[in-house]
Amino acid sequence: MTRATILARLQGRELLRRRLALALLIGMPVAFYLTSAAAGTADAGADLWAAVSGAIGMGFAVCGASFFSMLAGRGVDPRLVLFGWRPADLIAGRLLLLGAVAAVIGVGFFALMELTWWPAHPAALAAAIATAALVSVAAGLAIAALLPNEMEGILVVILFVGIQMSVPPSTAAGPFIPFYGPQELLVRAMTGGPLLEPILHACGWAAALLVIAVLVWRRRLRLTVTRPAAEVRA
Amino acid sequence: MSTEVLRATGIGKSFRRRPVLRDAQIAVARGEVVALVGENGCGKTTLLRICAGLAAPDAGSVRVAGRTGYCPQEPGLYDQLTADEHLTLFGALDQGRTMLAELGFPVGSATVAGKLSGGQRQKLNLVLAVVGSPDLLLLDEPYQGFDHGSYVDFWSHVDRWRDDGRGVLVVTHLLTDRQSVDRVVELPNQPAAVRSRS
Repeated sequence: MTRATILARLQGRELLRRRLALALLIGMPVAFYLTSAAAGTADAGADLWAAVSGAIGMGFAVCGASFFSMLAGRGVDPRLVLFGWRPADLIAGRLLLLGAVAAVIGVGFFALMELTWWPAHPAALAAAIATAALVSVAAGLAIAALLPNEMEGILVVILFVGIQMSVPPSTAAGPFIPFYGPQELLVRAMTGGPLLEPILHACGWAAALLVIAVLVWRRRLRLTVTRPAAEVRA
Repeated sequence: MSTEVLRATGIGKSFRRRPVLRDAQIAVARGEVVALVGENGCGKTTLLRICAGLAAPDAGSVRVAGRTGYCPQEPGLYDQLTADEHLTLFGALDQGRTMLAELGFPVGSATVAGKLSGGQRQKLNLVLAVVGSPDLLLLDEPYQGFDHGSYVDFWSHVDRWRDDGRGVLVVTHLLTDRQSVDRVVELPNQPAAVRSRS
């Protein structure tokens, strides 16, 4: 078993023991989706708004899980690096875990929307949920790397999610927000159309956020004294 | 061949223009136990973190020969993982369990770290620094919360590490500890040269 899989397994166990957090993680997108659906009228616009709210709720839950998974390891990570782990092992382990968490939430959410919304193009809906999860995992890791304090970090997570809700994709600023891709895919789940461009948009955002996370985290965990018989000068 | 496992010279460090360390020096030989003492806020923890490679000095250099084990003052643990799971993460389940048992820790307990007593958390914190048999041990007030028996056991372990040829640097406030070490290094409160006495 590699170091990354050991970390993913043990952090997964840690997450499973946080039962309330887990319930909120799963319940949040469902609550966003069902309350928006219940409040809307029976027209296509209301359905779309409910789907967007749900996807953003799922993004919030996954982004929060990603952020707190990094913070939970704040005290242990430097010790593991001193023990010989590479920062890449730590990031890879968390990506494995968060990928699994996002997949479970995403599959459940896809099933719920399929049962209640009946979009004309389910492949676009699946792509929307997958890309929302991808961007959210990367965003949570980047925010935790840049702001490793609970209060500031969670405020930025809320800001990140709030911006997605306050900037419609059809506006001039729309294409510049991280959830533009998933929101466009939700539109195409109703109307049809090519999926590649919004998928690439979301992948681009996820890659950029992940690069930020890796670079900052590597710098944070870089040992100034290496071994053996190494030397560091200021 | 040098017997030194750690040599830090001319170490300077400031936080937001407030100097914490200026021209600090410290050396630890193999098989030597050194106590680092000084008033609160004089930079003991900062110096230890610099020696561990976890913080960069503004001035000076650090040389370490071999692997370092670092025991932070605040236990760095996963609150929802057990002691065994921590040891598994560090790939040292058998060695760690043996050490924990010697310190009077209930080995095999299903209690997660967040629900352990302060002393038990500290024992796990200490053991995670020592597993893997590092050449240099940097221990920042490692026995906070220990009962008297565990405290005595801790120093008998230090004697064993010394006999094994490891270098040990312990941050302490306790005058009684000074009898158990080979040398005391005192960090002055106002940044200046470090005074050393045998």
